[in-house]
Amino acid sequence: MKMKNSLLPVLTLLCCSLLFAQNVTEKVSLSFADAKIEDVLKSIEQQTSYQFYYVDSWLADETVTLDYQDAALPEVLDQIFQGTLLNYYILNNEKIILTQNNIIYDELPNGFFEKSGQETTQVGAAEETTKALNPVFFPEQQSRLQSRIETVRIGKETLDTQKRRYKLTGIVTDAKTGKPISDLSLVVRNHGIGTVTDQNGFYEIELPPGENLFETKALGIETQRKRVIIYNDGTLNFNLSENIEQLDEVVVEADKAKNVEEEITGSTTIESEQTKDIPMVLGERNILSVATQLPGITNAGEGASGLNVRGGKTDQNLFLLDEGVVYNPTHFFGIFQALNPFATKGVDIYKGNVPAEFGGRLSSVFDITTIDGNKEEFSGEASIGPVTGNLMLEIPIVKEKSSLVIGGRGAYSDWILQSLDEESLNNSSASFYDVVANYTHKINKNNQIKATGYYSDDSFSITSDSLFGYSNRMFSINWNHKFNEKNSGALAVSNSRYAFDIDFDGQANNDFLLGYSVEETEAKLKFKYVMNDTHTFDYGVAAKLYNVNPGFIQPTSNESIISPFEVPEDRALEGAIYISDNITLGDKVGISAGIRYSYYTALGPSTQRIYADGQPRNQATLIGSSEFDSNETVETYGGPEFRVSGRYSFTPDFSVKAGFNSMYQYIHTLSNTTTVSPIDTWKLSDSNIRPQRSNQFSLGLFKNFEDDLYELSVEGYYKMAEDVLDFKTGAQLLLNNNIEQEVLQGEGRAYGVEVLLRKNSGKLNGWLGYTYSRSLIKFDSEFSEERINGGNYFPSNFDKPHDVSLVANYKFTTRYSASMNFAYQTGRPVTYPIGQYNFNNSEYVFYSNRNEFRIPDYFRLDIGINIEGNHKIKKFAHSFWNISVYNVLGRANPYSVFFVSEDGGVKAFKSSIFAIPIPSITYNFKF
Amino acid sequence: MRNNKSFHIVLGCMIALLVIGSCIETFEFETQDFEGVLVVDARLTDEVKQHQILLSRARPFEQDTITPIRNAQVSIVENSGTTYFFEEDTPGHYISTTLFSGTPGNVYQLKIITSEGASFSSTKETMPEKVPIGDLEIKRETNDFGEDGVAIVLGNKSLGNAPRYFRYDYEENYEIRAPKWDPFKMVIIDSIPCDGDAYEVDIAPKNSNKGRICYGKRRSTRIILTATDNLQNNEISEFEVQFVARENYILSHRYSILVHQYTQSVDAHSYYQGLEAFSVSESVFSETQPGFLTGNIFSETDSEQNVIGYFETAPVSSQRIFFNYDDLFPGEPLPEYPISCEFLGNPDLIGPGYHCSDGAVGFCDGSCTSPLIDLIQSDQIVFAGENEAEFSFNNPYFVLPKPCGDCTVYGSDIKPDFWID
Repeated sequence: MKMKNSLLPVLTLLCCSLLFAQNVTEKVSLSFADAKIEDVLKSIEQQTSYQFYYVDSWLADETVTLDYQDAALPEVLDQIFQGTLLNYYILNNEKIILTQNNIIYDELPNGFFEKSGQETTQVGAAEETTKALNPVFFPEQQSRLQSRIETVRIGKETLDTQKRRYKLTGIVTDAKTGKPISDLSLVVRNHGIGTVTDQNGFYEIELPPGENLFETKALGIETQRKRVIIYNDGTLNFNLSENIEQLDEVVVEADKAKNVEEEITGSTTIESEQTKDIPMVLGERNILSVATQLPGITNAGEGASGLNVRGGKTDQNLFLLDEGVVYNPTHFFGIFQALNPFATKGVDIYKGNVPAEFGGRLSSVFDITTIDGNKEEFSGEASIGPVTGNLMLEIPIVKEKSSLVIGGRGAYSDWILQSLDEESLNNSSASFYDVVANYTHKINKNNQIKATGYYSDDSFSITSDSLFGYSNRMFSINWNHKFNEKNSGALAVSNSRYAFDIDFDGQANNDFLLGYSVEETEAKLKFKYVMNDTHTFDYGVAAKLYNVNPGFIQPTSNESIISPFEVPEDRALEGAIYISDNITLGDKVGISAGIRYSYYTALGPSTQRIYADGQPRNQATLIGSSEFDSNETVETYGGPEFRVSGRYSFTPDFSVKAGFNSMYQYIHTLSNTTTVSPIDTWKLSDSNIRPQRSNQFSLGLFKNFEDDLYELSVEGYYKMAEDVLDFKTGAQLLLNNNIEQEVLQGEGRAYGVEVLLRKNSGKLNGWLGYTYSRSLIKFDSEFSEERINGGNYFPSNFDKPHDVSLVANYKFTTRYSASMNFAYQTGRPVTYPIGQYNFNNSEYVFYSNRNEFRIPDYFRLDIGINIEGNHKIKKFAHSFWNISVYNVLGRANPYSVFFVSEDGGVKAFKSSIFAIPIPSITYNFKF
Repeated sequence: MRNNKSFHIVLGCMIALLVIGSCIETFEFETQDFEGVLVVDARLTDEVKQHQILLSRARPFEQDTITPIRNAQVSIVENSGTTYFFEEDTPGHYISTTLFSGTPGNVYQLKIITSEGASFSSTKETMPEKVPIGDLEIKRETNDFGEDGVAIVLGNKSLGNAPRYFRYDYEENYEIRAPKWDPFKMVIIDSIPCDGDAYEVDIAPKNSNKGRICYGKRRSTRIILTATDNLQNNEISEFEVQFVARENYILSHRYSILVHQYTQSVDAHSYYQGLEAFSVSESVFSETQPGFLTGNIFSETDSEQNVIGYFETAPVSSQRIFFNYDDLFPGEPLPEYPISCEFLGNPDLIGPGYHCSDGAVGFCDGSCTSPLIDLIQSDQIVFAGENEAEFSFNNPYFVLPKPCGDCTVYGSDIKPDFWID
């Protein structure tokens, strides 16, 4: 290495130092067991002429065990400081200087003088070695803000293993409860990189050596800044406290930069806790209802259970609760969510690109997770509202290891109905409840188990002689295992059942019980392999067994003349194997490429009816049937599903993303109502009913403004679906043995543009969304009885082109805030009667083509006031009042219109579910 | 059960209102783009008669009258090769040129050619096997909505193994007695004002019992369906065809119902079920997806063209039952007559402000009306008694609304042939 002359003395000095350092000749003899390093060092000082220079606190109580006879000093020192953050430097055969983290270099790194314009000459070989030898310097001059930030030094700098990036891992926990904080963003401001904690609060990030300005960001959690000077791979845990001030904010997405940085399009996260200020019907917190305030997610109207995601049918959404499927996560016709708001952590919604891990539904995945219980101390949350009472408890079982969460929620509306002084209502009832429990056990650093059980039940009767009931039952167990730093895996086993029944007990002798159930059991094995900075692989395999009892009827009294009847059980096996690679190519480009191969087999025992080819399917064209034995393959379907998306970042806060997503769906709902009804049944694909398939293209622009305070996104999509189900007009679906005679399978087409502007913090926060979208379907056939609207495309029941929603929250003080919610939607399509005719001595109406008209536009304004209890530390509970008025304008938004031929004439009726302002007050408290 | 269904709606509305503020209300609606689709109302039974087929066009709501389809060629082709021709009797009303009957097991096809030359035909329909109607029974019961009344139920036994599909309709006949029938009637003697003498109304005997006892008639307008699938022993028992509330005046004296049972094919049954589903709404929350209900008649000239209606081939079996009010409700008060006959009126013979011109005879220069004469002339009142109070010359008679003394308002005073007292 040739340097300019003026620098030679410095270089010489350093070289000499190195020489001295390497020529230590004094020997020491030591024997210690679990001795304090301090004592060992004192012993060395006594035996030799060396003096140690260090800060006492560095050594603290570190101990060491060693046994040497006439050993060279550097050898001894190497062992002493191995496993600590200390380096040593021997100066002039008399001083040993200890340094924390950094090394004292006796040689200047390459490029050190380049900035000053000095001429340097290098040889190729030297360049390579010095590149690996970039020591960590950080500038002494700091801004005032920075100087107030705590500085943390990570790892011990080593001479031989310098890398371009070091891995920092750690766990973020709540300072008060000790619970891990998930979905917390860790952003490195000065390098424009970041990561998010997983559900166990664990994070992992690759950092460039040197100074990294860390900032933690999560809703309701204090923002902490730390200057992390990283020398080597290391661990940094954060202990954050809840930020009460931020609790009021109505912010849906916790991950600050996720919007721009994530590769996949069309994904959203809603945290249950964050939705508590949004005014809802009768004060019941409802994340599914909040979801409908976001672009691309709608429902057919109030009182319509089921969501329509990007123009898809209501049966095309996969609701997962801790990996287990929940078929109907709503209560009371979709007005309330069937999820305990306190035990629910949040939901990740995938409506565009769905990770390859998920499949089986065309439109979306709602990945709902329950909270992890407090492992430190007993705590809980409760609320009392006008409709339900709710209690959730978090019980530590083994401190710091395991915890139990139990939540129960019940409606007392039954009691309200009963207490009304109205005879005709005494036999009416509407009640529901749901219970959820989970157990988390952290076996060790690498193994964690979570078991979740869930049950929800609804029963209602509108006429006194029939009682409707439906229930969801789900159990899942998840075992997360970390093999090593690069490989982790999880095993999820779940069982889920949805059932409904109608118990008819009338005056006549035809009392019956009619029932339906679908049950599925799934095992899913998934792995993650972080290969390097560029590639992260997710891969896995899943298998699912369906058992559907398509319907039974049985007499419920001795006098009943109903004969027992049962449509034979349907069984099927659905399997999938998937792999996806998250590819990061520098800061600018990210690609997520996945493929999932799904495979479906309808299993016997079964009787499959055969219809004449080239004929419409009906009783007349039924030419025979074939029998299948138990577990015999009846029919198989399957195919590859592609999940590809990419991101290009123009700047750290502006990116463009594009994606292609294809899906298969093997189970379908049978519904001949315009909106979802709780007695819709699920039907498995068989030899006469094919699976539904879809392809979706999406493209989006994502931009954050003013330091991520505002997020703006514009996303467009085009989706094509095949073999979507509809039914012949007037179809009878319950207890129908030959259901395929009623089914039509056609094409769907949906497209739209979704604009979302979001402000995540500040006194005023919330979001404004606008969506233009269309959803069209087509049922064509050569037979007129299998055509709808002449075989042309027509709007689906949930085609609502314009959709505006505004959710805003304004914080007056830390305790008082007000929120509002505004929604506007084009009225949904409806089939009107357009004329009348006489038939069989009566007058009937004659309907237009399907969905030729629209009901009037929908709009609604809700307001709410939220009052936090004061925050005296000694207070037993932290309370929260929510006072809200739903539908302040009292607009009678028509939910449906229908026509009744009555007394020889035709009358038009419109029904609205919430025609008047609905005030409510809810009291919540935490302890 | 139409009444029941609409009650469902009201009840649903009430629950919802009380609990969550929902409601159902009527609204005015307008439609456009009307197409005058062919409507075929055709039924072939096993009765030997001149069968009839009605052809019309669907019409907009604003139009009350039926638009008949005239001058069409209508025929039914039997698989035996026989063709039964129909001819237009009254507009849109076609009757067979011969007396004939359908035979269970035979296959029939309806063919229509309109005067514009468009041809239509039904699918080939096999007439199902005939199932005789079982016995009708009456049962006093309280229905699901707490109304006391009488249920007319029937049962069918020994139907074999195949599921059977039935449609019913009925005709009710009932005796009506005018509660305030009077042997006297009012007769107008002088109704000309200012002719020199006063208005005059006298009473005279009726000399007949006309209007005292009448016979009312109602036909079913709703679709009544039942089937034996899902029923034990493939039997129907105690199937409720009709329920009449005790408060309904038609039960007051003697009541009769004639029930027709049509044995349908499964396709016909499901068509009628669809028709029924569209004409009622059972739940506040779920609405049956309406749309065009495809029947079994299709255009042969234009496959895109829709046809409304159904060609039903169904053997029919009938039963009639009579009963008196006292049979079921002995000693209980009679239902109220449709209108109240409690309050007697005594209209002025000469209206207030009556004044004749002093000069010219027959010239009225005031308000020259006679409320009593006007009411008699417009046939709105009946005689109920003479006013015997003093100074009552201007209010000579007590009167009642016409139905109180003349039941022909509600029925015919000719006793039906089948009527058994």
